[in-house]
Amino acid sequence: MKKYSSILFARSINLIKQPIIRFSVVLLSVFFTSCEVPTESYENPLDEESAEEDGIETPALVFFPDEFEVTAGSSVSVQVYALGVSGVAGAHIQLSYEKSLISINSVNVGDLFASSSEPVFIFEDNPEEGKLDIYTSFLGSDSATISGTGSIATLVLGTLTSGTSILSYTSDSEFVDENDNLLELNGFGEGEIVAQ
Amino acid sequence: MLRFLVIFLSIPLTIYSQDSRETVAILDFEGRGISQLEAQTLTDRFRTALASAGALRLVERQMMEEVLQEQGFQQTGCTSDECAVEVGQLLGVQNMIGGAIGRVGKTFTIDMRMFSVQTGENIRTKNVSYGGAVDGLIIEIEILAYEISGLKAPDPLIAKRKAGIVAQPIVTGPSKTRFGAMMRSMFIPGMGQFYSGRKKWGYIWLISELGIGGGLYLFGSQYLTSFDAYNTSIDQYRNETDVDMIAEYKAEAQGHHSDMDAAATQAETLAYAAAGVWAANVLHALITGPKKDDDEDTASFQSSPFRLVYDPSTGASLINFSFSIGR
Repeated sequence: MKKYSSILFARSINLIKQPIIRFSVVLLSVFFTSCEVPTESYENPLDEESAEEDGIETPALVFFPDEFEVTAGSSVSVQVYALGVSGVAGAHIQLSYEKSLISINSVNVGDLFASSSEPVFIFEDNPEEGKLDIYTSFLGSDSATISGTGSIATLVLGTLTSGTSILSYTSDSEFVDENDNLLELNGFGEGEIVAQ
Repeated sequence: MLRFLVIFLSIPLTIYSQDSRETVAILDFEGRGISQLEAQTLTDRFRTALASAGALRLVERQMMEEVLQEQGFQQTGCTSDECAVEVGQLLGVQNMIGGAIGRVGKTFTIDMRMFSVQTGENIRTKNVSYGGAVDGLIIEIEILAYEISGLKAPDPLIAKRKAGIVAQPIVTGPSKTRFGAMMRSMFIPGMGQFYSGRKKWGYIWLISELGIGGGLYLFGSQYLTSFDAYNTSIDQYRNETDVDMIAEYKAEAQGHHSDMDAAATQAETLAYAAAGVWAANVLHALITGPKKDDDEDTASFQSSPFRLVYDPSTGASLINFSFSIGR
């Protein structure tokens, strides 16, 4: 809250064009609020450096965004991201969620595979267990592999009641190359949904 | 007929040569608390007024100086009675007039005496106190010229004295205090020094504080701009999904953070400097305090329409009210 008020204050001052008023306001603000320098915080789950600092080494599966604060009953859109992968031709992704707090409303193909060719994209939701399985791969021998960072799927989740729910990938999640060989998967990110 | 005419024309010359008025020479008044130049000017005015009064025969200044020079006398510094008598004897005058004009605070005093060169006795002494500007002494001097001559000063001159009472304070208004100076300097740096009549110091403190304030504004603005830009970059960084753009926004944010940090450090240093200068200015105003007998004090007091004045004609203190009605 303090951070947002500081940002609002700084932006308001930059809107003041009258030199004398601006001079006075800046001086007074410097005198009375002092120049607080915020601690550098770079938190983007798709930033590999940032992910490594959080103990997630690539190749990895992460959620973007990885934090939500919503009112209970509302829905959120979260993307399943492959981070720093190479030579991926197919994937099985299994994620777990708090079945009492969250429901899966929809699952759509992401742009990682969709950008290359028409992928196979199947998902299976098991609300009793609170698990969602997603299967995706390229078809045929001319299928290309994908590398880098990109969205595998976009989920729309509904919040059932207030509470904090953690989204996580299970160890059954895997990437395969065009020869159906398993690829190394070093990190699994988590997502947090706070419904109030 | 011709003989009668010669006798008739010689009468005024005889009368002139048989002028019964006493001869007198005037020594330059001694200045005490006023400059010698002012004392000489007032002496000259006294000499003119005495001549105008006409009751005494006055030895001209030029002639007096010539005689004294011939005799190796220097008029300046001849203040003792013995010296004055000796000068009078050299000039061949019957009486000498000498005196002194002094200043005590804002009050002037004129002491004057006419004494006999032959006996050294005082013939007439006059003294007057006057509260006001030094130029107001001219009227007093003119009046004294009549009075020392044994005459009553003419009414127009007396009226001029009354009308010409220059409203001058013989007591000062509310006095300036160290506390007053300190309070003013607390409000605006240098203001207490201006109040105390120390303009130079007032400017020094004011300009110093303004200079630091300018720097503070500069770095404060840089800080706020960088702060704003940093938050913008951070927002873009957090919401970006393209890896290249993430790296770009992150680099931008790091640059803005670095700028913000530098500006904040500079602003903080200057804020301390500003506080230090402000404290020193307040302390200086308190320690040095107002200047005594400063002209500004009088000037500020004169701006008031009500003044307590001294009327030398009556010797009474009066409350005078005056205001300008234009020229």
